[in-house]
Amino acid sequence: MGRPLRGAWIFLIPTLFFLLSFTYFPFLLTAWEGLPSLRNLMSPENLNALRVTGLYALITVPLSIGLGLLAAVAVEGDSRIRLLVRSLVFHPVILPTVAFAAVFLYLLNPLGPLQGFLRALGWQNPLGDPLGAFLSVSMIGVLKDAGLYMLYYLAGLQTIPKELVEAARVDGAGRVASFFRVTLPLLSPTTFFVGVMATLAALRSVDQIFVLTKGGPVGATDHLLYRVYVLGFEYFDFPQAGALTLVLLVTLTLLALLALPRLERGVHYDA
Amino acid sequence: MTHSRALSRPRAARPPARSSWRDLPALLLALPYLVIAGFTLLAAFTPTAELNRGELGGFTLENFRTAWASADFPRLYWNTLLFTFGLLLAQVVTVTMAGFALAHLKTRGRNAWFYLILVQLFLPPSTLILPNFLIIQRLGLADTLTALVLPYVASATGAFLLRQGFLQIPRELIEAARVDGATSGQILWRILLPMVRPQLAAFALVSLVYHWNEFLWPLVVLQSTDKRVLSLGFASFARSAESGMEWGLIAAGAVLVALPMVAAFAFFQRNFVEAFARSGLKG
Repeated sequence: MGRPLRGAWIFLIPTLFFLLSFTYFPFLLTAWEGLPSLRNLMSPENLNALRVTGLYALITVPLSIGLGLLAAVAVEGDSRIRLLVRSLVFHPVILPTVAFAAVFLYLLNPLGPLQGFLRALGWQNPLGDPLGAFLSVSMIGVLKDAGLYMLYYLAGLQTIPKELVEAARVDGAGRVASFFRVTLPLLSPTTFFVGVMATLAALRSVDQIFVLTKGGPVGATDHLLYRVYVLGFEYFDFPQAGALTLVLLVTLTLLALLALPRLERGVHYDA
Repeated sequence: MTHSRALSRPRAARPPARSSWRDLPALLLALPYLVIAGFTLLAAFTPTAELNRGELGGFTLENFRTAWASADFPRLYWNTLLFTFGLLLAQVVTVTMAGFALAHLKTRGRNAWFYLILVQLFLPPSTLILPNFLIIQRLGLADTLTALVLPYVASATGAFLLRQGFLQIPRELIEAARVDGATSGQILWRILLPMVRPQLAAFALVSLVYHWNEFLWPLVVLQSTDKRVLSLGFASFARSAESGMEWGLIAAGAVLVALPMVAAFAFFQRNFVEAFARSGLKG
């Protein structure tokens, strides 16, 4: 640990200045302006946005964590193929979401290259129907983020002593059993961290909605944050957009209160 | 921190292990990504008429030519470079100072400082577009590059990444410098800064990638067409191409948007992987 230095906190001033101006103050501003309008929040459209956001989180969080974990286990090691697959799974992380999503306009269109596959599923035009659009938007979110979670899990796997897994195998546990009984529990700090990141992503990743569905059809992809944008910057209904922002911010604060004590411990132990 | 290097191949490269049937799960996993990337590339080079008949093949560069001209890519690239590197410049200052402070705070009250900064992870600028827009407007900064940069200048990720770097520096070094009468500022800029270069580099990479891709805040702030950044210009380009069902244009445009990052990734793969793994701040 570094030795405490007198007056070290002075160096925090620039960061605190910008945090105050563009994180804490806007939060307070939203609370101040948004609170009176909270009463008018119970419109069917707003409730729908809450439901869509909740469902989106419910689907993308476990799927992106699962895919990340699966990918990490599948590509651990250093055969040429695994290194290649690692890059392939990771690459959407560094691409603009709008570009990654726009590609699906082509892939999923009724004359697109995936028609055979989509027809087999009975889904000729997934972006045209509510469930299909919702699942498409979710799937893009999952594919986009899984690569990052794979990296975190690869890092987590590196910290597990090989002897532990081998000991379990010697004791007669199968490959699958030793994964679930030894590896997975030891990965739980990583899983917690990834879970928090994925929940955060679910609450704020809406770029693909702008390109693919614009909240539709019939509100099926009307994510809370997307609705904040539409209400605020297309209808200029600041009170309602502010009230919805407040709902989002309160949710995020609760998540922070829940997660920070454990995450911060993780930040502590490493050095 | 230490294990992030192990993620990629060691520097003194062992030849990669022989591939075998055990790689099959990895290959299966790669399939969706291959399908997406493969069809996108094919479509980008296929004439629009054929795509609209549901066919692939043929070869044309027309899609790229049209996309390049109609979305004004040179300007989009330039604006995005200006935004990302300008922001990075400001961030390097705030993040280095904050990292130094966080590494050397007195134990008493330290956690309060930690929390005050870590909370930012949970209140990212994209969720604050509405109040921040009102603030920017009040400051008379609407439609400016400055407004685009401001909400990102403080970075909790960066501050804690740098803290890790400062913590690894032996304390004797600092003590020796203080005995020699150096001030905290001199210690930071002359002695410690060169030693946290790996953390700064990792942070720079992650910051550049994330902000290169930024969409929602630029959408709110920028009105002038000639100030647009890459993702913004591409989104409006994609919308009009979609209404004309010009799939080849969309694919070519997406390739043009993705190209700088994919190229950088191809060259600096190990650095990317390390930087992103580190940005997770996991022990």
